[in-house]
Amino acid sequence: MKNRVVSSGEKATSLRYNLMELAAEKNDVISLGRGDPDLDTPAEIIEGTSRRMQTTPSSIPVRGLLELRRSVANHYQITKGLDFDPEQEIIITNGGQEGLFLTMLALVNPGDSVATPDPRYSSYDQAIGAAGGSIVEIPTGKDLRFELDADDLRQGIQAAKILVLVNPSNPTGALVRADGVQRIAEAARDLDIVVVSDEIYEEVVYDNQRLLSTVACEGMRERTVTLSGFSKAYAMTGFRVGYLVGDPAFIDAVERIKAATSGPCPLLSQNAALTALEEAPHVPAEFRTIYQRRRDCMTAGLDAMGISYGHPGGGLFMWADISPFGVPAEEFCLDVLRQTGVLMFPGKSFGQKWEYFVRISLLAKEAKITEALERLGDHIENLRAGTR
Amino acid sequence: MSDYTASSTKRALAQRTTVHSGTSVPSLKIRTEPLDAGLLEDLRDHLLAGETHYTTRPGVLELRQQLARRITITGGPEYDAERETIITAGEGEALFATLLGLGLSEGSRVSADDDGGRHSKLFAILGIQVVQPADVKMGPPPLEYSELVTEKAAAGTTDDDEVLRKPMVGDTSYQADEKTKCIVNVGSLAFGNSTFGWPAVGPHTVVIGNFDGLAGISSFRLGYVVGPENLVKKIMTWKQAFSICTAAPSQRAAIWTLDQKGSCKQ
Repeated sequence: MKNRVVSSGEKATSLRYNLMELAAEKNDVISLGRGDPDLDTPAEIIEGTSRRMQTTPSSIPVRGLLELRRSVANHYQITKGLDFDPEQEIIITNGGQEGLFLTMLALVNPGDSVATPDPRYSSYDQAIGAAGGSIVEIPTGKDLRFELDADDLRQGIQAAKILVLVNPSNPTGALVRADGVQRIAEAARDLDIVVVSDEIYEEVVYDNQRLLSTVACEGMRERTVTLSGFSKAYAMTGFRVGYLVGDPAFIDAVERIKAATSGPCPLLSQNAALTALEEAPHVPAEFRTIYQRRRDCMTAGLDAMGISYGHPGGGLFMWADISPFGVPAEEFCLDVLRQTGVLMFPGKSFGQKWEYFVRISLLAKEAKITEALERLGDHIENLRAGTR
Repeated sequence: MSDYTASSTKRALAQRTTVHSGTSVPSLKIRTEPLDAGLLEDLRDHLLAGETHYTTRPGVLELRQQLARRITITGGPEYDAERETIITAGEGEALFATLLGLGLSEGSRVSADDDGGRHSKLFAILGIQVVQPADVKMGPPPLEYSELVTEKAAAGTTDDDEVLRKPMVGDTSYQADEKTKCIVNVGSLAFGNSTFGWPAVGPHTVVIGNFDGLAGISSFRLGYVVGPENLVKKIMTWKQAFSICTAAPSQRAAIWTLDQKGSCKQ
């Protein structure tokens, strides 16, 4: 019998992929859909990777190259002042996505429930469902504020033993700021729950803000699993490399599951990640500047069209309210794609109640975003005039 | 760490994490081989040309076409590369996605020799009960799993295991009846040095395997799933959910290696 959570996750994912397939059949599409940075991996990372691949170790541990784990630990020490044992508290994964799947398999028993913000990235549904768990949705979005709030967590947690905190958020771009993270941490301690802190967008935080990692909060180290990776910060999606940081017992468990499922991450991908951390630490800031300009361009365009959205404090997406047009987002996205060649994803792909929201990515050049906004503007003008 | 906080994540661990190892536990490391200079140059060129993004979910079509050809050349069935093949992150991921894609979950039953052979721990982690093929007391299971291991522990996918299963003959059918779904693990048969032929497959048979028979490819961690389109489509949703797609440079490495005449170990 198929788990209900799994089914909803599959359906949500297929909504996106159906649109992408349709987009692939059209010419001149501006894709503001998938979360794949349009920027290429910087050449210095590729050159460094090529150099490192000249010598190969005799074997690769399932946990990942110790040198890479040491580099991740060093990154945490430098950027967050936190010390982690690279031998016991870090494991390298096939991207952040595998990290979240392994985490759910390691923590969720059949019948367990996991609290997630609503809306959320639908792959969580499949991962939680595969482990036999169910989802407790913690609502966000009151007055278009999509930051997970500690009071809402306390009220909605029910019997969940795990909270998934995606910060900054996919799909909304909402950033839970430091004081909010502290309050969520306090709630997690009071409720005695584990926090899976998905920080894959940690390097993409705008307006001179910095992400406070959940694990940095008092008393949270031993009840936090941190998930991150290289796909977004270094435009390395194709390499499929990420990592988990957590309690040694948790990392041991993940290692056993990873050994049975996918084994170690490819050597080249690990060397690319190592090169990124060791030789190109300036890249995330450079990319952040580019993304912030795009965000500003997008917000200005949506403002001009009179479309409301959640404030994007970070991440690579915007979450816009299209309810004034009276067209459900699935239909809206399909129409926009067919008629204007702009690809966006419907809100229901990230939660059932988001029928009148769309996710718009910032992963196109600024000129393309401007052009997409012009096309969208024409479409909306026609909608308002009742001619479409 | 205080005792209280140290136990928080540990206490939350799922029961499946306590699954104990059997005799065929996947090793916690894999062996690698030196890489060809030409391969490294080719990879560098493709990466610099922008092959640093997600590939399509089932994998680079060029590689899937090569895979389908290799299967046919080595005496296997014909598969439609576009619709009936998926490239995975190793053989283990191929089996993992296939089990989930075929609808198995905690409590499901599978018929297999030796508790699932080299992948017994995966069955255990997923809570799937493995029964001997001869044991029909509880009724026929919905799925049969068989391993055809053609080389010592499938060439580098494990470290110390020497798991040589019963040799299979080319005309062995892996589908007992019209309804039962079947997974056949052919290991590195499509790329390696095998004295065994391809098994006959039925309409509900999914074949999984790895690329480890290709010289110098083990560190790129590649596996595959081939089968009828309706099943492959379901398996694809789980491959996507687990790791989105297989690493682009790994797929490119396999394409280069397959392009080189005589690159197979044989």
